[in-house]
Amino acid sequence: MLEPMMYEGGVFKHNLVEELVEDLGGYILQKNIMQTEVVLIMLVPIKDTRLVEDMTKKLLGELTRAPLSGTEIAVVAPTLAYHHLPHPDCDIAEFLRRKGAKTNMVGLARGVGARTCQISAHERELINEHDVAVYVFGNFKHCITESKPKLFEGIDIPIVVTGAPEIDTEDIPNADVYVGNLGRIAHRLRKGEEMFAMDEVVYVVGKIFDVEREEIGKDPLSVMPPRVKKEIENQVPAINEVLSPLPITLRLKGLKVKLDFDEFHEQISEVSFVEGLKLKDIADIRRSKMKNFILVDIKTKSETGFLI
Amino acid sequence: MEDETIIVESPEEVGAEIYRRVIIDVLSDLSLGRVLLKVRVFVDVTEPVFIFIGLRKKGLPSVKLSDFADLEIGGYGKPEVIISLNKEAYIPQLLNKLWERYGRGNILHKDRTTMVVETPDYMTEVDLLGDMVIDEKVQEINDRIVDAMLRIIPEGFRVRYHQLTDEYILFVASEDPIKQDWKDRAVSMRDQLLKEVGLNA
Repeated sequence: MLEPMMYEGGVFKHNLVEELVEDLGGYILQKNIMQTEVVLIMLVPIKDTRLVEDMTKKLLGELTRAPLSGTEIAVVAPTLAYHHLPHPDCDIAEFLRRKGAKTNMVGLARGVGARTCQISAHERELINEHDVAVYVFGNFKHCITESKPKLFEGIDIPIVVTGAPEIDTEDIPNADVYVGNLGRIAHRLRKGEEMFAMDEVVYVVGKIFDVEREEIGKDPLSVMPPRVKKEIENQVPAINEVLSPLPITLRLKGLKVKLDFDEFHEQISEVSFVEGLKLKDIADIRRSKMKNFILVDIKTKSETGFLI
Repeated sequence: MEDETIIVESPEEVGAEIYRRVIIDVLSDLSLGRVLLKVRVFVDVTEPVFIFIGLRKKGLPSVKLSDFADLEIGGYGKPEVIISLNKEAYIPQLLNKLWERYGRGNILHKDRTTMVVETPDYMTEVDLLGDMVIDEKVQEINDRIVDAMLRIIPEGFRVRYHQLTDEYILFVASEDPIKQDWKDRAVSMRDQLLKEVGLNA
């Protein structure tokens, strides 16, 4: 069992943490170096977290649990106009990222208006490539309960909705959870109740992942996504030249490889494991709607018949 | 701003309160807090309609050249006007206006605070220059008010009706064609507001 954790500390000697985690059989998911600070998002074997904690203390860093690590979340706004950005959409995305998630902002082309809002097939498929969709809506109950649910049509992943009024989740068709007290805000979210509301968003998203992970536990994936990530990094050298912030993004049931599909999908499907398998045997490799990237969907044990 | 300055009415109380906050944020972002005296808003998303009435304070006068500079005729026999600036803030606008009127070759920017305009009609031009409007504050504020409107109204409400005068701004927006009822409501809100501050529509 691996525990998602986040290390924050100085650049000096941070490689000791990386090495320790890898020696313990854990994985480094993301490494961000910001001048003299470094943030590591990693998966640590749960029984060895103590060792990482000790190392962190020695390096005067900080170790926190990052429950959203290894997930990709879509933050969906009706459009990318100044009515929604940078507050509150970016603030909500920021809060999700702080807990380890990778967020993508999706601005719909025609998501505005009550009667006139719509979502296109392309946008729908793009959102469905994520683990959870967080829809950031506005101030009026009528709008959220009556007009906007049109935008959830065809979305197969769990949907979290935010807005200003207090609404029961049952009143919003197709939404999984509703979080109030946000809504359309034109200033930076830093007041108590706004911060609580954003914490609530993080909490409900975390809960959704707990349930999802439990479901996955019943029929586990043939291979864990972080292991595939490591093998791709070792066997496909081109990935080291990708400048995107997270060249291989983990999702709950697979990964997104930020290489051109047409050029690299064969190389990716040929990635091999010491057990004598190739990635194409245990995963579906398809084209992503996002910039022609490669999506890897790992098959479950019930499909392949084995676990590695 | 105090409570009476901005009032938002809506069938949904929470929505109205948050909308009030949005309006305060937008107006302060665009430094319009002291330009609008009173604001009344009505929103009903079931219709859907958004009505905004803002009463304006008396606008700032335009800035003339004589407000920030001294003008004199050049030395004996020289066909020129000498402008001595007391403020450097308006130089870009001033230069543009001068170039437009006299041509670039006839303007000599001697040092930071002195400009020489060469013109054969220097005797009459010196008075004319003094009255030249350099900065139109009203126009700039009007632009900002319109910008604020577009930021405040719900994004989907793309059908709009507006009146912008020196006394008030009236804005009706919806995603459906504007109904006469809404216009009437806006006008009566406006009249009520003007009456409150003792002006006549």
